[in-house]
Amino acid sequence: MNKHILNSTFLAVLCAMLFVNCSQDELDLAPLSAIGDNGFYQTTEEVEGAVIAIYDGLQEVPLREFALSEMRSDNSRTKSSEGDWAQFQELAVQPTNLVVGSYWAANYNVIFRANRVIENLDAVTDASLRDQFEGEAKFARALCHFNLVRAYGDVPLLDKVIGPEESDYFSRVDASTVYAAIDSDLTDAMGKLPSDMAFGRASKAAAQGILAKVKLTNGDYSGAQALCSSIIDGGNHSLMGDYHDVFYNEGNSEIIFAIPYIGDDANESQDFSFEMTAGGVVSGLNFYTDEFALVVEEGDKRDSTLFNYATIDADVGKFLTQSADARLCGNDWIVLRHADVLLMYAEAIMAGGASTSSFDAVDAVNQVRERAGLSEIEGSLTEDMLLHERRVELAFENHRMYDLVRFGKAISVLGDFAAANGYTFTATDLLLPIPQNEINVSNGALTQNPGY
Amino acid sequence: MKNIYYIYPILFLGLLLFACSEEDIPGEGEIADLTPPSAGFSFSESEDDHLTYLFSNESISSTDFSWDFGDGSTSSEANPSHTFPEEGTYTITLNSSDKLNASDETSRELTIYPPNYCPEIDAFIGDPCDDGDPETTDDTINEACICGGELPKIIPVILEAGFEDETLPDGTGDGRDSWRNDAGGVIQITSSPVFNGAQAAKLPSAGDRVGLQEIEISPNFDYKMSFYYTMKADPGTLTVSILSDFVTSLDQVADATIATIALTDNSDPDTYVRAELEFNTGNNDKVSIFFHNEGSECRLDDFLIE
Repeated sequence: MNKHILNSTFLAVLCAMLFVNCSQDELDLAPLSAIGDNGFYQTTEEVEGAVIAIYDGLQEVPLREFALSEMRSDNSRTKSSEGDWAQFQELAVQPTNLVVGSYWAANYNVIFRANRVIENLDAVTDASLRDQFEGEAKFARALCHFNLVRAYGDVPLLDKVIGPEESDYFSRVDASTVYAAIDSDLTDAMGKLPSDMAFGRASKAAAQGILAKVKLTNGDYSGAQALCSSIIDGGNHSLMGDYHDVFYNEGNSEIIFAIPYIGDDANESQDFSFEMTAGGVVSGLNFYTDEFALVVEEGDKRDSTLFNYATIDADVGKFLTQSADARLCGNDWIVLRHADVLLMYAEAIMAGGASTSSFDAVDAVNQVRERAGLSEIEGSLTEDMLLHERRVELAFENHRMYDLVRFGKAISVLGDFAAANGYTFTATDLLLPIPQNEINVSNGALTQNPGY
Repeated sequence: MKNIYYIYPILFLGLLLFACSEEDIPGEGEIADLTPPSAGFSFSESEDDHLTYLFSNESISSTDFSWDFGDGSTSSEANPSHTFPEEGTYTITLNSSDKLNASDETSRELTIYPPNYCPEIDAFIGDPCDDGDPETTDDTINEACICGGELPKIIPVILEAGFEDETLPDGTGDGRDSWRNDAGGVIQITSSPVFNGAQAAKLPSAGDRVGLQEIEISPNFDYKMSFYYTMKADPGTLTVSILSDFVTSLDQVADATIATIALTDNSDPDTYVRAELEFNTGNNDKVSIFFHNEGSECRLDDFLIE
């Protein structure tokens, strides 16, 4: 009898357990020992953490960028002419080149992090802060897509966080579609970002300036001119009096957007200063070419900043480190500064012509020349003068290759440069190869650029 | 049912006849050519010689190339440079193939012009050409016409610039149709005094009329607008402006003003006075001519922008 009662009780308890069993909704799936995706991004602070992570990702982007924009042009070269690095100066980059792969990965990492912020914006309760975060994320997503489309041509366009199964997103999208998405992101960012942001975070002017460059690249000169004049008239940025201070007085008023680093800090430092300047003596990277040294005019005050006369080698004088540990450098990377905007303004007014006599255009270039202690341009400004001024003023700041392409001079200038140095240049060298490791894991979705 | 057996010898014979040819049998582990060649190329003119072109091969998955330059010459280089015998139009053909003998072919036309020739305006650099100004009958060399220089400066067309009847391009018009707008009432037309022709514009002293016309113009160029006006003896002002927008009310005028001139010469209501307004178009490919008065009756005639 007792046994029977025990059995029925046991059965009843079992049945009860069936009914009151937890549903999956009631289970707390957030792991205790680590931060997972599912339990995170519930508060403003957590989303802001994701925003900071975007900037953390951006710190990876400039590390070896000099190879693909300066060394792959007539501005700089290696010292050793060996290995992966020499492929850039010889205009013979291989799909297996490590820098080509790491640049791709660094930019898509930022895009991934930006998309993470955008999909979690609802957790931010304050409307103006939500707008700011959205603006910062869209700015970074656009900047990195812009980096990618200029370097590789047609590239995958990621407008959301994707998983490994979403192979629709793996294939290359027509460059014009990528540019349209960049334009739309930057236009949104411009409307949402405050003009006054902490140094190192994207401001309204930063979005306007990058958008101006996007518009110049696509031949929308009127749109670019309006954006540049908005920055120039905005009054938040101006030319530094001394060219040297632009690079060695960090956080100055000329900087519109920079990626900050902290010296002697293992997490927040960079090593491009080591690779492309003082350390270059050892590593042998990013030395200025003889061709570059020749175009700097007599009496140009920028000379002592462009070149490092402390060593006998042809060292670049920008971004020289002041850190104790030579490989933990703190120099900020300048993405956009006021002088670039002034020169873009003149380019917009020239509007694809070979010259302009517009006072505003000539005056903008003369402001840059005046600081350099050079004679003013009188009469009309030609395309060649403008390209020359950009080359010297923005040397070793990773603009040269894309300036040549944008001005339509890349084939003739690099063709002559290659011929004079015994390299082989063809028009297909203007786009980098798609990294071979990315093609390998794309299940056939990524195709290689012609010429590789 | 027994009859069916004669089918086997027929099938067997058929198999013999239609058996695979040797080339079609895949080898062990062989897969199809998944990346067949795709031909593509671009070209650019050499800096030194206008007849020499550099060809850039943009073919994919190809190892062997065969170029036909359309002038009887060929090449098998990947990125050849070729000097054509003379100016003219050539069809360039590139055949790209791989080692499996799969191939692809593409053609593009190349037209070589003589040096210093501008196809856009069908003229040579330095040629005399039409400067677009109807006033000058002798066409002079104008920098704006020179290819490869500054972008051309459009000389804008002002419709009914002299306020004459039937001067619209289609031969109609009452002299003021092109000047109608929502910022003020339509201007009046006067037949006396006029500066030129039979009619001029008139703004009555009430100041409730506005003349406004949008014109197409080149961005970032300096222009000069001239016109003639006269005012009655009452104290008043005639305002003539260049606006960046086609405004719809007088409140918007101040923000849209690129250049403006306030005129007060009321010494003789029967004698027209010439006035000029210089302006830079800035970032506008369209501007509007605006005129409006206060206090005194005004007349205007013969607008010209150059």
